Amino acid sequence: MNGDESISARILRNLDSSALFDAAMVVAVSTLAIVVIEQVTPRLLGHAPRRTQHAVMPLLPLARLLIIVVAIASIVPIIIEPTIQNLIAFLGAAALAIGFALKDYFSSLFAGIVAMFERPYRRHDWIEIGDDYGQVRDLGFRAVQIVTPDDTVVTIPHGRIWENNVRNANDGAGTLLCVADFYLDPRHDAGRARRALRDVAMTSPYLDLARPVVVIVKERPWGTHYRLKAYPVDAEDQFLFTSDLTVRGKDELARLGCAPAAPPPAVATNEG
Amino acid sequence: MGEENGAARAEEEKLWRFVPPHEFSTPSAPAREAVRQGITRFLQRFRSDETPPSLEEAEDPHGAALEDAALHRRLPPFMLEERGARLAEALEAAGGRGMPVVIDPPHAGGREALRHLAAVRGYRIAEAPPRATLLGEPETILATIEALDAQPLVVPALERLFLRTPQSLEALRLLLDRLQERTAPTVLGCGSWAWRFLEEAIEIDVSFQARLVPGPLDAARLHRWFSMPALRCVERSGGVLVGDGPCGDEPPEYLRRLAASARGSAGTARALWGEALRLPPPEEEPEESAAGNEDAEKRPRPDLLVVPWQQLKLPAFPGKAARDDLMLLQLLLLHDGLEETVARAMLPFEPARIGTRLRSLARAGLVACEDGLWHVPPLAYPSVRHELSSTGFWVDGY
Repeated sequence: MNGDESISARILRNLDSSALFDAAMVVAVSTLAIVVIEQVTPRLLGHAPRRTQHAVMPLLPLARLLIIVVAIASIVPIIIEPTIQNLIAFLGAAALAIGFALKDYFSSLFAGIVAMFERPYRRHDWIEIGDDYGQVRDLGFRAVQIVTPDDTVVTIPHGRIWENNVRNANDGAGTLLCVADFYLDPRHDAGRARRALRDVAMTSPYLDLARPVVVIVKERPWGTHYRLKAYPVDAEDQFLFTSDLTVRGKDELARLGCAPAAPPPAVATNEG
Repeated sequence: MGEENGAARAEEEKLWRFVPPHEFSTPSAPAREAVRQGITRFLQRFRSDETPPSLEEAEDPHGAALEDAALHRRLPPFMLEERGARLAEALEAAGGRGMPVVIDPPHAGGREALRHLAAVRGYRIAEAPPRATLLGEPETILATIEALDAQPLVVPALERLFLRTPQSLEALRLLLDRLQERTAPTVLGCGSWAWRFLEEAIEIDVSFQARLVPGPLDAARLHRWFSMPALRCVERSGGVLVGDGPCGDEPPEYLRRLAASARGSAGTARALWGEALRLPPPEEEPEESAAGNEDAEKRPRPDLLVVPWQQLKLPAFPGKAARDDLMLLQLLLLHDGLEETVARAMLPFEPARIGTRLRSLARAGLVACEDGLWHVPPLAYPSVRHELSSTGFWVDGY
């Protein structure tokens, strides 16, 4: 008992009210700084041009991490005697706790740190992890929150990046590639249909004119498959844009007398 | 060599010019003004009110605005004859490189110069059909051109001969083919927004190499233009340019700001200038000392005052612009104005919403309706173009 007391006495400082006050102040200031970064900065940037948002938003988690590291580095010397032995003992105990009790949690934390530097996703990116697709709403330490097209918030631990591929549709850019598919009976003028579909994209008010519009044609056993690929001005318009391309594309193909394909059910099921 | 340099300098100093697109450079604003505009626009984004502020309701502490007739007398003349003559010279110089095209930024006056040229030379003008016709029967425009086959022709506004629809683009391709097959002299005019669109949509720039743009009016040129007889008062009463010192040979900084804001467009600059002109307040009864009265007598009373640049109230977006509004504005710029019914058919929104948005934008002064045609007026153009550009929408090249 006396031995235990002497070990803890050797590691821990005498925590008087002044030390506790200092530690509390560090926690308070750090919390305030994090609140400012997480709440105020996105609101300010919400009114800024999208380019600025994409440049600054990814730095916010990094800034938050920096604040927490500085806060811990400030608090530890207040609580324990900062000798080599004490630090080894402290880190050893922490490693043991992490190894047994909080393995998955800390795995996600480390994955979060890796994600900050590798940037597989950023705030406002459209990403797909596993079966979940949506726009990144928040990047936490442990998890990323996305909002799906059905307006459902999905929280995905960063640890998923160890095992899953991350598909990022816009990778920090303000726009992303949208694809509208058309399936036609093969008996038609393919050149005319292809040009008509390109014109459909060119005449969409959602189109980002500076990026390419591509129409890919592939012959299938049951008909002709057209893929109209184009970029909207804003990634948030992707579903409206794809719908606009689909609706007007169908109208235009009908005007040209192109009949839709009628694939046999078995073939349609196997089609990717 | 010396003569060549002199001729080049004389050409550069002409008030009205038509230059190849690569020689077009937008007048730059003084650095201080650029910073001020940036801060103002940033702060404007935080205004949360949904209803655009009505320009008509705004109080003006700088004196009474001029009535239309008085304003017309004070504004510089359009000088169509000189513009037409400069255009004719430029077309001569650009001859031999195929059919010439005059790319016309909004309100820059290229279209008017083309019409004047046509009138002087006796060319026929290909007038635009009603826009609603282009929606249903876009190939109507072909018949118009074919009817004029053997005659010299000016097409002053290509942007009014098509709509941003697949059928209309198809008809436009045929029209441009027909135009290029013509043997009679033909000059094409095209709005800069339509040109930018057609460059991407049908690669129009590959087919038409001889391109001209109305030369941008920089501060020096604006100074000369605004000092013409109709506005001689500027020269006479140096205090007219409030806060910018007397007019000398050098253009005042005010005009540098104005030229930059108008992006060198004559019509926009003229509208901004007209908006800034005010009648001075009525003279007060003399109550000052004798010495003060003598000073006042020596100082000529200005005929007009100019609102300080920072206090000039121009149409602006109330906070962050809605994307639907920006699409609508872009469409109006692309076609140099549209009827509401045509805009309804072209945009993928609830039709009733188009009318609501147009009237809301009109209250903010960002669009105006003339003879049923909604368009972006010159006073609103700087603000609209900036908003479209800063939100990622494509804009013209000028």
